[in-house]
Formats: sequence, structure tokens, C-alpha cells
Amino acid sequence: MTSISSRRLAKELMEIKNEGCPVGINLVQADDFSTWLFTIEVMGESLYQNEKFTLQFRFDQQYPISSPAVQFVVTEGRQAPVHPHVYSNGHICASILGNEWSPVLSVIAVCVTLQSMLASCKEKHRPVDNDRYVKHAPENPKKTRFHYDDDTV
Amino acid sequence: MTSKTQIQRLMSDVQDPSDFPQQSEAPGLRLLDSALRCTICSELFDGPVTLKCGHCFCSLCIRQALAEKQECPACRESDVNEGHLRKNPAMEEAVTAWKECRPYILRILDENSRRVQVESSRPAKRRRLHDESGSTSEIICVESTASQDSSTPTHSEQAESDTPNSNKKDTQSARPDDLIDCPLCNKRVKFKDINRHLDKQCRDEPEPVRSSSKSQWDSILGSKSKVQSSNKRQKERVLPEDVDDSLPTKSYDTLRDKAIRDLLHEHDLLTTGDRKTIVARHQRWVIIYNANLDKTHKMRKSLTSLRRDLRDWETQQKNKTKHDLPDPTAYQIQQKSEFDMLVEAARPKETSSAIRQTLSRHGQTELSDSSRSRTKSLSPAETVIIVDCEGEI
Repeated sequence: MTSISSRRLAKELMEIKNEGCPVGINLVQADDFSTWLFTIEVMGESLYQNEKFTLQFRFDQQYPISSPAVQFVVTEGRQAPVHPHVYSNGHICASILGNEWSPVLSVIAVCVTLQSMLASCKEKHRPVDNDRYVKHAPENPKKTRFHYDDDTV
Repeated sequence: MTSKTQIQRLMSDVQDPSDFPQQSEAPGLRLLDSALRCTICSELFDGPVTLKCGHCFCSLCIRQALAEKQECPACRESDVNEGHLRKNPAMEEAVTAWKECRPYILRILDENSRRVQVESSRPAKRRRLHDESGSTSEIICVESTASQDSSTPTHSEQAESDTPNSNKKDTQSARPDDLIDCPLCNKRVKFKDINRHLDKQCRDEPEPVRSSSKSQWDSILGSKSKVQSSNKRQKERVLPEDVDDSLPTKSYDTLRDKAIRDLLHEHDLLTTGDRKTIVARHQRWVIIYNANLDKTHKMRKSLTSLRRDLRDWETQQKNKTKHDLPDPTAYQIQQKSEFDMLVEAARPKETSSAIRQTLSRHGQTELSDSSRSRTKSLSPAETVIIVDCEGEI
């Protein structure tokens, strides 16, 4: 019996292959149903012109009931964007990845949201508690309980 | 972890709206297919239920989602719970019918596209010939469908004017009881019956009206419905498990282990495992049991197969934890320094200064950057937190 999560992911992958990703988002790797990689860049005018970031998705058996673990890749010379909600270890503080996750959201929907989060950035800086967080952060961002306080993004 | 062959196999039998041609080619087919799919699992609805906001999901999907968070996944309407779920039998019927005709439509589309290919490879002259014959058959088709809804004079006139000339001549002078040739099958039919004959696409069924009126009378007089309900009652007696009462959700915190095991025993489920396992098992059972009740009787699974589903689910959960640690020995070797450090730290005999020594020694020599920054400032209490983290990875 194949699990609901892999069937759903197979459908998402099928859709990506058939219809392609939105502009600025590219599928890099989806060899299995546990880890996918995307590149993401912000189109048009923004603070992140000509910057390209790699986004990692990790899925568990409960997907899509439980959210995927999403973070920017910060190894092999890749950097996380400098953004008030992105920690230097690649972890992202975004409500839709935590308590606002909904099972009707999809991988592409998350990519688009993060893309627009970057696009709407007014000032490039790290979160205020970056150093403290990065020091103690768990490996999996899903184990962090973020406090969401900024509604403007 | 899923292997590459498995992913390919899964991808090849994925059914989704893109099986159909694009909107411009086959208007509405893709949209129809995606409209009949649950937005949580992307499958065609299985036991569809509606929330009070009107959004529709598979019963099993929405029950799992509500167990996590009590809001509508689509519109985030809050304060919704299992009690708000309403069956959607109309949707269920539509899905059942769609499941049946989906392969048929796909086959027709496939044949069509193949024929178009063949035709375009033919010489032009022959294609035109084919078109002509196609257009005549089209006329007849249009005419027969146009006159389907009624046989008013205007309609019969229209039908007559559309039929080929020879027939037209024939019918113009005909009186109601005269026999005329049917333009389609050439059978002799009474003029007054020709429209009905065409409506039936030349298949004259004797007295279909009378039989349907009989069943109408039956339903009015209730003889048939009485038969049906007695049938149903009989069925219920045959299948005692076929009860409509859904299981209530329990607040496990107030229940002792034994009470939970009793609950499981009531439904002939396994009662082994620790508290976490049996609670999870019972929770899952309530969800799949209640989801099954949201289907029509015909579509419901038997309790035996529900129990099998529950077992499958549990093995899947177990597999998942196994997958996390593919090779325990290698992991042990790899993490030896950290394990040693924890063992040292846990020894009650040693003084706290010894622990600190051990910690700093390991921290400097063997640990990776990130964990060093963590371990440097460790007190024994924090060590326990690390154990938790590593265990879950």
C-alpha cells in the first residue's frame, strides 16, 4: 500500500512536470518523496536582484496533514537570504510553515509565498535574535516554536 | 526512504486532471476532473463531506486535518469540528459516475486523436469525401436530438424540413395513419408515430410508458418502497456491524490504560503496546470508523477491512521510525563521542567538575562546530535535552 503522502506528492510532481513552476522557481531535485530542492529568485524590482537561493523541502508520512520542513540551504557555498524572518542557518519564521499550515497548501504554494515574502522586503537585515537562535536551533526547523508577530509580510 | 524505481512506478499510475487535453481542446474536462477531487489528498472524493462553510473533502482527510487543527483547510473558518461534517451523497454519486466514465472518455479521446492523425495523413480528396458523409450523419443526429424533448407541430415541421428530399415528399401528403419510410432505418412507420420512432433512435420499445407509469403508481401506493425498506431491514439483520452510530472522540487524558485497552477490545483491536501506541491506535480507529460511515451503504468497507487498514497504518508508522535510522551500528560509531560524553555525564559517581572536564575535552576535539557551540555551555540538565533531539532525528 502506498501512503497518502507519496500519492499526493506524486500528483504534485506530475503537475510540476506538466505545467512547470511559476516564474523564478525551479525544481532542482526530487528523486524521492522525502527531500525536494528548489531554486528561488525574486523577479522584478526587489532587494534581492540577481540573487538565487536554494530551498529545501522535507516531507514526513503525515504530509499534507502536517507541514513540510522548509528551509534555505546554507551549505556548499549557498546562502540564506538576508531577511528579517530568515535566520542565517536557513530556518524561516513564516506562519504558513508552522501553525498556519493548511493541508490544501502545496509545495508550489509555499514557494510562491516565500518568493513574495522576499519580494516585499523593505530592509535587508537578520532577525534580531539571530545569533541566539542559531546557537540553539534544532536541526529540523519544525521543532522550533516560532512566535509570529509581523503581519505585514 | 522511497527508491527511485518506486517513484517512477508511482508517477506512471498517477491519475490527475492533466490526463485530459487542455481547456482549448476539450473544454471543461480538466476542470471537471479537478472539481471532483479532494484538495487535501488530490484523489477523487472518497466519502465526501461538507463543512459549514461549504467546502468539501474526503471524510478521512478532513477528520485527520481537524484532529490537528480545528479550522477549514480551504478558507480557515475557525471553530469547526467533526460534529459539523455533513455527508454529501450527491457529490458521492457524481464521483462514482465519473469514476466509471473516466476511462471511457479517455479511450474516446485517445481514439479520436488517433483518427485525426490517420485522417491528416490521407490524401486531400478522400478526406473531403469522408467529411461529406460525416456531415449527413450529423444532420440526422441533430434532427433526432432536436425533436427529442417534445413532438410539437413546429418541431415535426423542422424535422421534416431537415430530412432528405424523398422523405419530405412522402411525409407532406401523409395522413396520421399512413405508413411512411423512416429516413434512418427505412422501416415502415405510421406517420403519427414517426417522431417518437426517431426520438427512440429507431428502436421501438413496446409500451415503455405503461411500465414506467406502473412503477410510478407503485411508488405512490408505496408497495415498492415497503419492499425496499423491508429489504433494508433484512440486510441490517444480516450485517449486524452495519450500524450508523459514529464513535465519540475520547479525552484520553482522563482514561486509565486499562480503560483504553477495553475500548480497543470492544472493537476486536490489538490491545498491546504502551500508552502512546494504544491512544494513537484508538484515535486512528475512531477516525477511519467514522469516515467509513460517511459513505453510502454500498460503498462502505467491512469492519474486517477497516481493521486491516488500521494494521497497515500502524506498520507504516513503525516503518517510518525505522527509516530514520537505516544503520544503527554506523550511527553508533559515528556518534560515539557524543554517546561517550553522555554516558560520562550520566554517571552519578563522578563529580560535577569531572563532567565539565569530559564535556570540554570532547567539545574541543571531536564534535562538529554546531554541536560544540551547544555543548560548551552545558549543564547536566541541558544534556538531557540533547538526548531528546538526537533521538528524534
